[in-house]
Amino acid sequence: MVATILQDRVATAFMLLFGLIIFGSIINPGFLSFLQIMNILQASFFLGLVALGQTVVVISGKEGLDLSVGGMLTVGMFVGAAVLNGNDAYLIPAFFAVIAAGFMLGLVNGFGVSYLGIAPLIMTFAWYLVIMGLMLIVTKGRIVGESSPFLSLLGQGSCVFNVGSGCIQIPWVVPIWIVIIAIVSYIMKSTALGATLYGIGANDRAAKLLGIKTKRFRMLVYGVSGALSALSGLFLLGFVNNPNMSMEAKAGYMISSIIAVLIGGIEFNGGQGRYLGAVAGSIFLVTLTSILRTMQMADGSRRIITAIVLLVLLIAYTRRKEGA
Amino acid sequence: MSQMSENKGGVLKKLATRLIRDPAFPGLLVLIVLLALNFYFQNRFFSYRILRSNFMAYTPLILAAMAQAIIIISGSVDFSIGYALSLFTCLTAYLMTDTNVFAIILLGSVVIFLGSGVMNGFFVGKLKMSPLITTFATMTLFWGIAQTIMPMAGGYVPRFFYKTYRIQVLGFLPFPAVILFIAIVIWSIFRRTSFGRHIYAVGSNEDGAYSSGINVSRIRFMAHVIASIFIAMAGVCLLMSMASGDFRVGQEYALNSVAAVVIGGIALKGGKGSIAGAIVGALILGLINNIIFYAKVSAFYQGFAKGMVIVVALFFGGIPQWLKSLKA
Amino acid sequence: MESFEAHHFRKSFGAVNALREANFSFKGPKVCGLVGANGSGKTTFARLCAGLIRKDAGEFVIDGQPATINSPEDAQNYGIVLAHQNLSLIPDLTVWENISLGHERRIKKIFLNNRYAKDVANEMLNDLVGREISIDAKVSSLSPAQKQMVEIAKALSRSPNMLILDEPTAALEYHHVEQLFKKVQELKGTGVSIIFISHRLWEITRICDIVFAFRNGETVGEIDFETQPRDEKLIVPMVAGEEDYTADFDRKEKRELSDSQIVLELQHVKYRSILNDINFSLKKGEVLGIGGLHGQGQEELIMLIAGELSSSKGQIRLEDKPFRAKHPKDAIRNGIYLVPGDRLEEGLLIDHDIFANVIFPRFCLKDEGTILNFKKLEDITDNIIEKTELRPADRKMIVNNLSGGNQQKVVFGRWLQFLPKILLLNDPAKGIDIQAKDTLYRLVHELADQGTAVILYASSNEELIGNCNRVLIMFEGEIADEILYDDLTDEKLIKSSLRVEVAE
Repeated sequence: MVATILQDRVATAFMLLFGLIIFGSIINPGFLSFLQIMNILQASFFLGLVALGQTVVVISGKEGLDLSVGGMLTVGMFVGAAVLNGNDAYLIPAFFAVIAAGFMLGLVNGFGVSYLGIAPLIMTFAWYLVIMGLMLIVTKGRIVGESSPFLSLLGQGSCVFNVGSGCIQIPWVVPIWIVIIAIVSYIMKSTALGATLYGIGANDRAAKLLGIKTKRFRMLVYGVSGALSALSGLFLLGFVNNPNMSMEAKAGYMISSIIAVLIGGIEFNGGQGRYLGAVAGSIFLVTLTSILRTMQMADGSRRIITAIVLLVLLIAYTRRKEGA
Repeated sequence: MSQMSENKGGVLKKLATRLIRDPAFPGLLVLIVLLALNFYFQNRFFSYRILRSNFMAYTPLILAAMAQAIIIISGSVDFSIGYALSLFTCLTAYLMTDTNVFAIILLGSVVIFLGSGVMNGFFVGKLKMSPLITTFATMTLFWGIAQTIMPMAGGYVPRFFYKTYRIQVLGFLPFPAVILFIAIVIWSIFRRTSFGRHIYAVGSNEDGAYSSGINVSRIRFMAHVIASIFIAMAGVCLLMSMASGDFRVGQEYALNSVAAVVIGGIALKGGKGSIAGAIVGALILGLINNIIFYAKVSAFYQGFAKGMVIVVALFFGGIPQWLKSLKA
Repeated sequence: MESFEAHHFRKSFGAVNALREANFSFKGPKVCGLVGANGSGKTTFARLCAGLIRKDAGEFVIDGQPATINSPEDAQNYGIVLAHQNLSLIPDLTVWENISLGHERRIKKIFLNNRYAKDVANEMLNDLVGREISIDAKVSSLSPAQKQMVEIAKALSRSPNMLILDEPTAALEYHHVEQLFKKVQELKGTGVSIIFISHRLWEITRICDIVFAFRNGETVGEIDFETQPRDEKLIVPMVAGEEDYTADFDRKEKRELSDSQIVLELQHVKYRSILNDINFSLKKGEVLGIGGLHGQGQEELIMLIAGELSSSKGQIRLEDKPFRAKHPKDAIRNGIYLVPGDRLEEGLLIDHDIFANVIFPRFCLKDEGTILNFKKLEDITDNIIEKTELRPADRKMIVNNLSGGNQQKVVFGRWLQFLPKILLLNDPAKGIDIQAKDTLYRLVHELADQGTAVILYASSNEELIGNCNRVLIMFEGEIADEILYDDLTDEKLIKSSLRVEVAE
């Protein structure tokens, strides 16, 4: 519905992804195996869900950015683990608790950004530090609670299809992700909700004059981002069974979600972009990490490569805008 | 006779009004309150030893904040300052021996100048890339290089070098204070050139600056380059203070340098504020850290407390805007 | 500058041809007027001369020599200076810093000579506005009129050989205009040529020596006042185009409203210090005009009724029930619709298509579900495109690629999907072509005939006279006068706006 300029950006993102996959399979011939692809998709899911939150925040405009996603993810993990404590019976409460926690925390970001006019960059980063500090206080460094069997099944397990002579295993998160992508795309394209999001990102003032309570809407968007990142944390809990506070990993989600959005062709000015692009971006990043790992690079070297890739992409994307 | 005293009163009044109107003024008040609080928690706060150790600890942040301020005033932002510092300390601590101290310092400074100043400046100024994401990328780059050079904290810094950080110049001035003073002098010189005015113009109204014949991309470029001077100075102070290289130091400085700038009354979109604000902001952050430490806040709470402080400061900064919008 | 020539200029921005065949030449020093409707290429031409943008084709010949102007610095070197319409001032810097900006004098090539800059600023400003503006004031604290004067002072401080004034009088107070004209004559006396771009034909005929007319990016005519009379009627046909233009424009006949109900009533409405004690009432089917000098609160009054100013005070009654609009949502839900003054900044989502822009106001309505019924909405959009004669008639067209007139048709047309109770028009015909303007007003009157009450604020008296039943003149935030249909003339409007006694 929203006529996105440069509609081929999603296509570009996927082309980049396929290019990377081809590169990967050249370096490591076993790369293109079904198993490997599924593994990558599975790992990409968690980033992809976080990137969804980042996507809506960026689309909402006014230089929207959510640097606290890593914190919300951690909150999701710990709240989920605490409520579940290994017991499937508490799955539904855990789900709601996680969403609620992420949403409320996100609202604080939204309030600061929308009503107090604090730049999203610094508001969300500062809040991230607070959240991580809060988690430290609450957990006192100990690990409390753990995932439940069903959640672990979802996070780690696969659904099995019997095909011909063998069986293929698709990790549960993959169909879950596909459903989420479908729902999100529908909402963005065909509902007033999606159209309003694009509207406030495109021209906040005009949107207000046309009757939208933009401040309130934007605040809610940040809440949604928090909820999505927390939800990803819940799934991640299913993946790793125990919550943990690894700082590096969380900072990684922050940067990675932003890069995924960038690759997906979503402009940081807001008002345009499709989640499908960020999906491609997420998979791209995880694939890149995987390739670098198989090349047995040290942490530092991997970081350098990621940075160079990012810079090259940035230069390429900026140039395109100039030429247009 | 009466005219003379009238003029005097007029000048004083003018100065007072200018002081109050300066966006850094609320920060100054907060600073005074914090000094008092610090004194409360730590009686010997105003003793020479304590003051000196505070200077040693905060000078890198103050210099980093000054660098960040220059960049932000020009309408850009630099997230990579922290890890540029990491890179500096790792690189220099790795290469340093007793004999090549100054050469290595020079090398490190050139790396900072080229990497942080020229590279960021080129991307943001000449290629017109988005400062935020670009400096995120360069931050990752510096991080990676620093981590590669020195995966574990260590390195070597000669004794005489880091001892210098602790000496007293002219008998009473802490060495870092002297560095700071030099930095302020350097900035004052720049401030009086057309560059000094033009970064405000570019940050405040880029189109207007261009229409006035200002080379906007060059000013943006120069802002990063000149800021890198202060980053290099911060790196030197940090190295002297830590006496080793550790790639993880950067994390804090990224946010803290921006927070210091914001607390000091400099608007994130550019065009407003003064370096004094950055200094005040950095001092405030430093003093708060001090209070948290001396108020015997448990280690678990410290991270939370530091973050909360910044958030509260931001909220306070945002309240005038909120009240204004309510009245609209 | 002795002579200036611009031959065969062409400039396009993407799909839009701003200039197609522009020609301009004179032997100085002269005051040259440049007229044309918005979109005719006047501002583009001015910016080309000032080096802000580059031409696609064409040549400059200055003093008999070919000249290259590709940057503001090049223009500077030839002494061509532009005083902008959308100001080039830096809000956070002071007046004197702004005036010297970009050409600051230095001490020993490095340090800024602030003393000199302040002296120059004082000199320039005194000439133009006397003591009204302090050189130490921050530009952000000045009124639009004062900013314009500083902009002009800034241009003057560069010692131009040719000064281009782009719509300088749009925001100015009357006495400023007089000062400006005096200065223009002075400059001509010292050998400086001036290009004076304006919509106000009475100003053109007053101070210009020659007039050039642009239309659709081409130079369509030239009048030399040394050989021809200073008559607006000569200029207008060049600007307006093929349609026969008569000085007595079509005036809508008077509306008989004695049987109409009052739909809106304002009592003691106040907003900060901008609106003081507004009282008036509006009837169904009425077209009420708001006039007066620029910036007397007209726009704020309209925005207030549209729900934008939440901290206003006073009583408003809508259809005899108390009404409080804290947010545009409240206004829209009650059938009060706004066509804002700046279509790009306030009215459109420029990178979205016509469809998105048309259906957007539906989202704040109560019973509008969140799932979009595309069939219905697309029909509605097509309907509006047809009614407003939008070109191209494609609802998927990105609004950014439409001409100004067609963009305005979207901004206005979107309200046709509802039946407006009250329609607020904030200078709706500003900068659009004549056909679009006619279509717009035709539709407005159709709505009024069906009972919509219209409040029209227009910066051109012709629009007010041609369309309104009566006009309220605003002055310093209050309604100072009411001019009824039978008394509505240009002279009466001007005099009432200036608060000058009309000898009748």
